[in-house]
Amino acid sequence: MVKDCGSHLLSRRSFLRGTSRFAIASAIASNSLGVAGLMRASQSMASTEGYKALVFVFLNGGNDSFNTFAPLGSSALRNNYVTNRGVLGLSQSELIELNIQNSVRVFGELESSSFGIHPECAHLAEMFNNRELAVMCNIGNLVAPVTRDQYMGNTTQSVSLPPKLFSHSDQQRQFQSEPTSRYSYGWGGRLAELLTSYNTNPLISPLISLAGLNPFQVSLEGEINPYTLGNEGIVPLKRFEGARSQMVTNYMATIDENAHLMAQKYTNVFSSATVAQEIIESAFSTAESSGVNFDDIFTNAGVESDSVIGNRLKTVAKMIKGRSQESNKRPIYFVEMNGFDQHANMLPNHRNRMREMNAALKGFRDCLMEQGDYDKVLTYVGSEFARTLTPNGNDPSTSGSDHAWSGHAFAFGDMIDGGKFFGTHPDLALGSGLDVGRGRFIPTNSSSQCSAIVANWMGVAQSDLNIIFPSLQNFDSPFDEQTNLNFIKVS
Amino acid sequence: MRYIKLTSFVFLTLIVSCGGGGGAPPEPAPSPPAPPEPPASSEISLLVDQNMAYEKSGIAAEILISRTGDTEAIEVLLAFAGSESPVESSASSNDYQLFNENDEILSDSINLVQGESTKRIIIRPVSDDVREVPETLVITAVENSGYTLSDQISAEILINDASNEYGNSRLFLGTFRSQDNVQTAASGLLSFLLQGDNSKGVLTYTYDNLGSERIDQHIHLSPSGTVIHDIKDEDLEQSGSLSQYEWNMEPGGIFTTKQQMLDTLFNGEFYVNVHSADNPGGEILAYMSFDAFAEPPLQEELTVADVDYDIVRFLNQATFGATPRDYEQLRSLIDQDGANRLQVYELWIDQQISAPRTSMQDLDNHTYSVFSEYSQSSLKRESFWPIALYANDQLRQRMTFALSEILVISTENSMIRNRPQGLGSYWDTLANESFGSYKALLKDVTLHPMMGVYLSHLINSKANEDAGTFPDENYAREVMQLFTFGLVHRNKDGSVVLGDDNLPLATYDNETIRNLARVFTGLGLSYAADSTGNSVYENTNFNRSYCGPNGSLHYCWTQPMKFFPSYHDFEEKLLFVDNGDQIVIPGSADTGVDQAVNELEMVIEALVEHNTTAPFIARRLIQRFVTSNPSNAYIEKVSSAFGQDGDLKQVIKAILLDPEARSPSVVASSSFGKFKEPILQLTAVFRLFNASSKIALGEGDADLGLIETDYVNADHFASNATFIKIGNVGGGIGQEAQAAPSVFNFFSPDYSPSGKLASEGLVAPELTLITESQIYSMFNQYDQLLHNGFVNFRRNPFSSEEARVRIDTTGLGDLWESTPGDTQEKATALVDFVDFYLNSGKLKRTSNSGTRSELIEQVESASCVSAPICDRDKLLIYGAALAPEFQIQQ
Repeated sequence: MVKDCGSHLLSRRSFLRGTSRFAIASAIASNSLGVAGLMRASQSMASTEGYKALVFVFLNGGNDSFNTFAPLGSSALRNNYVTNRGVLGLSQSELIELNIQNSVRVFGELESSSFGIHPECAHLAEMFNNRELAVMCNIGNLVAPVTRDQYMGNTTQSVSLPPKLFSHSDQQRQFQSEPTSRYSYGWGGRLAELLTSYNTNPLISPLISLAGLNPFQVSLEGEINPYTLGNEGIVPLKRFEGARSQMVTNYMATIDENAHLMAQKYTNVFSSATVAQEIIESAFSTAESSGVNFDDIFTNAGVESDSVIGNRLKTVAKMIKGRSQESNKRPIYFVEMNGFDQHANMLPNHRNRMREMNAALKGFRDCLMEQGDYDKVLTYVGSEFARTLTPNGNDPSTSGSDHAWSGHAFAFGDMIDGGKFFGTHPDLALGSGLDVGRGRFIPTNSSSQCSAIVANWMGVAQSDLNIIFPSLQNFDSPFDEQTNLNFIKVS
Repeated sequence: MRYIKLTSFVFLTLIVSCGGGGGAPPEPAPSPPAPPEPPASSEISLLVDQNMAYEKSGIAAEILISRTGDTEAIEVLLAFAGSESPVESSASSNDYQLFNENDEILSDSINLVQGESTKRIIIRPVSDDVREVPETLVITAVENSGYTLSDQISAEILINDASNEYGNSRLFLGTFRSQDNVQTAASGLLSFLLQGDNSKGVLTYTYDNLGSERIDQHIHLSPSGTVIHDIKDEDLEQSGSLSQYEWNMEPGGIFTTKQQMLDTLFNGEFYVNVHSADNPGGEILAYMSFDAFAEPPLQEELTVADVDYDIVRFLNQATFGATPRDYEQLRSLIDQDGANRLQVYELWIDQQISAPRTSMQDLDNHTYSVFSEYSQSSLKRESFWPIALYANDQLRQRMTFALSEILVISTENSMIRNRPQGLGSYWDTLANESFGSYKALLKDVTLHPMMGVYLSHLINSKANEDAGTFPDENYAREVMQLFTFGLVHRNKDGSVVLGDDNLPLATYDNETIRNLARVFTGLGLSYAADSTGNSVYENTNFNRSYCGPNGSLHYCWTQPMKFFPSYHDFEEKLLFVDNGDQIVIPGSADTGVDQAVNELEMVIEALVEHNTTAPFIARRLIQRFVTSNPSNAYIEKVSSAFGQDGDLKQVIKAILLDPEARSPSVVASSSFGKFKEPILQLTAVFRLFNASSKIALGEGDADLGLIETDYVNADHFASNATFIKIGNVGGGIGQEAQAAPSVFNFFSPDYSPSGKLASEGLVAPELTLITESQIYSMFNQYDQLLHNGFVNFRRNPFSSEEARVRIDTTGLGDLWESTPGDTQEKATALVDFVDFYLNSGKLKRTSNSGTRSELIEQVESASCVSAPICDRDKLLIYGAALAPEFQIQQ
C-alpha cells in the first residue's frame, strides 16, 4: 500500500514538473517531514468508493453575511439587529422567511427561531426549505476559543489570536488554510494530498481552479499543483500545426536546467497545459453530448450570460458531467466570486451580488440534479469574514460596512442535513458578549471545524483531520452532538 | 596546509644566577661549539602590528621584520602555515598576497638592504565569493645565512570575510511550524544574526501556544534530524523563548570543522526544534533560512557589441519597447566603447522628463469627439494603447504605468469603470507627479475622488457614537500597507529591522488604523452636477455624490475632493511609530477647513518621510523597471535618491543608471531580470512592428489611406500615431492597464513560484499571471494579431478595415532582400533582428541557443508570398514573441 502510494506520487510529479524519476524518488526520500502522515492517512482509506467532488465557492472581499441571513420576528435578537444594523438593516417584509427544522442556538440568553434570507435569494430559500441547504452560523478564523475578556485583555489569561485580524489577504489565506502566522498549504491542497489514492489520473491535477492561483489549493509537499481553467473552460491553441507547432515544441524542449529560472517555469506551465488540454476537451465533449442543456438550465435560473460566477459554475458542472472511468475520484474545485468588499453603497451593491449568487448557485444545483450528481457534489460557500454590524455612514444608499471577523457560511447538496442553522448565532449586541468593536463578533466555531466536516465527507478519517487542521485539537470535536456543527446527513 | 612546530626554536644565550646578594659575578656561559659558518651578526624578530585582515573592506594584516645588531644586507626566509587546530580553517596561498610599503609584491624571501633595521610586510586578503570562517595564517622566519633568529620569530594573523561591525551581519529568519505534522497550535518566529567574520552569531526565538510542557530544545540537521547543538534550559527565558543567545557554531553531530558548519547554515539545513511532554520527538521546528539579497554584478569592460545590446536593454527598461529609431538615435551619441553611455542615458532621461506631458483625459475627449459610438467602460483601455505605443514622453508614461501598479485603482470595480473621465484624470495625476515628489503625488492621490471611491474615504464621516457609525478604515490601512511603508520596518537597503527581541518589527496595528482612519474623514466632492451633467456647480452637501449621468462630462470626478469640516474628526490621533517616535496629531480647537488640510498634509509628510517608505517604494519601482530581485546595495542607492520627500526624478535615474541595471554580465545570470508582464510584452511587439489602424490621431495621409482626425495635441505623439481600438485584448493576454483584480495589483511583489525559484529565495511577481489557461489564451492573442489583426465592434463611423489594428512587417521583407548570401544567412538576419530588439540580443549571445537555431531553421524553410503578413513573418513573430527566452527582460 505504501509502495503504491509512492509510485503514484512519482507519476504525478513527472507530469507536473517534467523531472526525471530518479530525481523524484530522491526528493521524496529526503523529505521525511509530512510524508509519514500522508502514507498513514492513505492507508486508512478505502479506495473502492465512488466519485465525490468538493466545490468551494469563495466570496471574495468579506460577504456581509449578517444581511444574507438575518433574524425575523419580535425577538430581542431582531431588536439588536434593527438597532445596531441601523441604516443597513433589512426590514421584516423584505426578508424571505425560512422554514427552520431545528431550534437555533443563539449566544447568551437570547432565543430566536425565526430567520430570513436576503430578498434576492429566493432560490436559496427554496433549497433551504427543501432541506438541501444548511447554514453554519458565526464561524471564523480562530486558533483556539476566545472570550471577549481575553480579547480585550481584561484577564491575565493569555490567548492566541489569528494573526492580522481584519486584513483581507491574511484572513482569506487563513480561511483557506489555517490561522497560523506561517502559511505553508491550503486545506484544499493538503486534502488532495491525503486523498491521493482516489486520484489516480496522473495527467491532470485533482485541484482545479476557476479563479487562477489561490491559497486554498496550495499543497504542502508541492507535488500537486492546481490546474486553472478559464471561466468558460479551455480554448485550444489556434492554427497550432505544421511548422508552428514543430517550432514551439522543439524550442520548449531545449529549455533545460541552465536556462533562466523564470523561463523554466514558463516552459513547465506550457507543457502542463498541453497535456491537460486533451483531458478537458474530452470531458467537455462528453458533457455537451450528454443531453444536459447546461445553457438553458442556467438561463432559466436567472443567470445572465456575462455572469462570471455563473459561467464558472457552468464549467464545473460540465467537468463533473464529462468525467470518465479514468478521472480522479476526489476532485476539488475552487470557484471565486468577487466584489464583496463593500465599504460604501453596501445595500445596492450587496443586493446585486446576492442576486447574481442566488441565480448561479441555483443553475449549478439544477444541472447537478439533471446530471444525477447532486448526491456526489458538496458545494461549500464561505467568505474570509463578515462585515461590521454597524454602518460607516448615515445614508442608507451610500453607507457601507467594514472588515469584521466571524460570519455565516452555508453548504448544499443531497448529503447535507439541510433546513437547519448549525453552530451558535451571535446575539448581535454591541459592547458585550462576542463584540470586539463595531459589531465585529468573535466566532463561536472555528472555520477549521467546519472545513474539517467537509474534509471528512471527502474521505479523510476523523482521526487524521489534524493533519490538515492542527488547530482542531483546541476545540470540541466538530462531530460531537454538543458542538452542533455536523451538517452532513447521518446515512 | 602543513603545520610547522615552533617549539624547537628555543635559544638560551645567557644564564643568570640570582641566588644571594654579594656573590661572585656570574661566570660567562660556556662558548657554544664553533658553528660551521661565520657567526651571524644580525638577529631577526617578527612582530604582529595588525593581526586581522578583512576581505570585504580590503583591510590588510601587517607584520614587521626587525633586527638588532649588524645591518648588512640579508635575505630573510619566511615559512607559512595554518592553524594547529583541525576545527579551524587555514589560509592557503590563494587567500592572501604579500606587499611591501611601496606596494610591491613580495615572495617568501624578504630582502633587508644594508642599514635597514625593520621591514613592514602587508598581507592583503584576496577577495573571493566564497563564504568562509576566519582563516589562520602563521608566518615564521626560518634560518638562512647572514642572521640568527630571536625567540620571537612567528606571527599569527586571521583572514576574515568581513569585520564584525553590525552592518556586516547576515540575517537568517525562520517561523515555527508543526514538526512531523503533530497536532499543535503553536507558532513563532526565529532569527539568527551571523556576525561578519562568520564565526558565530546571536540566536533569538519566541513562540507560544505549545500544546504541553516544554521539555527540551536543540539545533538539528535536516533531513536526518541529527542533533548539532543542545540549547540548555538555563539559557532560556521564563517563557521558554530564547533571547540573544550566542551560538558559537562549534562543530557538532557529524561535523568536525567550523567551515562545514557555516556551509550547512547557508544551505538552510539547520533547524531549531522544541520538544514537549506530549510530543517528546519534537512539537515545533523552525528552519534558519538566509534572508538573501542578490549580490550586485561585477563590473567589466564593454565590447562594442555589449554597448549595442545595452542600448536596447536600456530602451526596453525605460520605454514600452525598443525601436530601431530610438536605438539609432542613442547609438549615434554613444562612443564605440560606451565610455559616455551613462551621460548620454542621463541626457535622454532629462529630455524625456522635460517633454510635454501626454494627457489620457485629453485623448479620451478626442476619442469621444471622433467616435459616435463608444462604451463608457472601454474608453480608457483604448486610450492606454496609443499612449503606450506612440506618446513621445515614453519614460513618463512608463513611470505612470509603474505607479498605477502601486497606487492602484481598478475598473474591476464598477464605480471606477463607469467614470472614465475620472479614470483618465487619475492616470494624468500620476503622470503629472511622475518625476516630482512622492509627497506631492501621495497628496494628490489621497484627494483624488477616484481613489476616494475605490478605497471609500469619499463621504467618510467622523464617528457618530449615538448612531453607531465609525470612519471607514479602508484607505487608512492601504495607504500604510501598500502605498508607503508596508507591514514591517525596513532599513534603507530593504532589509528587515528586528526589534529588541530580534524579530521583525511591525509598523502598525489595528489601533493605528483606527486612528489614521479618523484623519481621512470629512472629504466630499468639490463639485456636483445637475441631472443633465452639463451644468456643474460647487458642492455644498457632504453626502452628495451625483455628477451627472453616465457619458456626461463627469467633471466632479476629475477635481480633488475637499473637506467638509463638520464631518472631520479634529480630536487627537495617535499614529504609527517612526525612528522610535510615535507620530501624534494633536487635537485642534480650530475646526476649520485649513486645519483639516493642514492635518492631512502633516500625515502625508509623516507617511512619506517614514524610514521604511524609501526602501519600500524603491524596491517596488526597481521591480517594475529592471529586476525582481535587486541587491540590497541597489535598493539602498535608490532609497538614498528617494530622500525625505521622495524625489522621483532622482529615483528613476538611480534605477536606470545603476551598475546593476547596466552591467552586461547579468545576461549570464539565471535569475537576474524580470518576467515581462503581458502588457509590456505586447507593446514591445506593437512598437517594433508599428501597429496601427487607418484612423490617424492627427493629420492623415491619403497616400497611406490614413484618415485625419485633427487631434490638437497630436504633436505629443509620434507622427504616425493612430487610434488603437482593440477591444478586450487585455482579457486575452490576462492583463489590462488599471484593471487589477484588487488594490493588491495583478501580482504581489513577493510572489515566489514553487520549485527552484522559491528554494533560492527568489521572487517572480509577474509569473502570477502565467497559468495553464492563460498561457493558451496568450498564444491565441498573438495568433489573432498575426492572422487578422484586432478590431473592436465599437468603431462607428468607421469601417472595420479602417479601425482594424495590424502590425507592419514590410521591414522584414526588406531585410530578407537586402541581406546577402543564402537563405540560411537571410533567415539568420531576420531572427537576429527580432532577437536584438525584443530580447536585447540574448539568443545570439548565448552560444548554441537551441531556440535561435530552431527559429532560423523554420524561418528559412517558410514561404513568403501572401499579404499583408506572409507565413514566414508570421512564424518568426509568433515564434519569437512566445519563446521562453523572450519572456524575460534582463
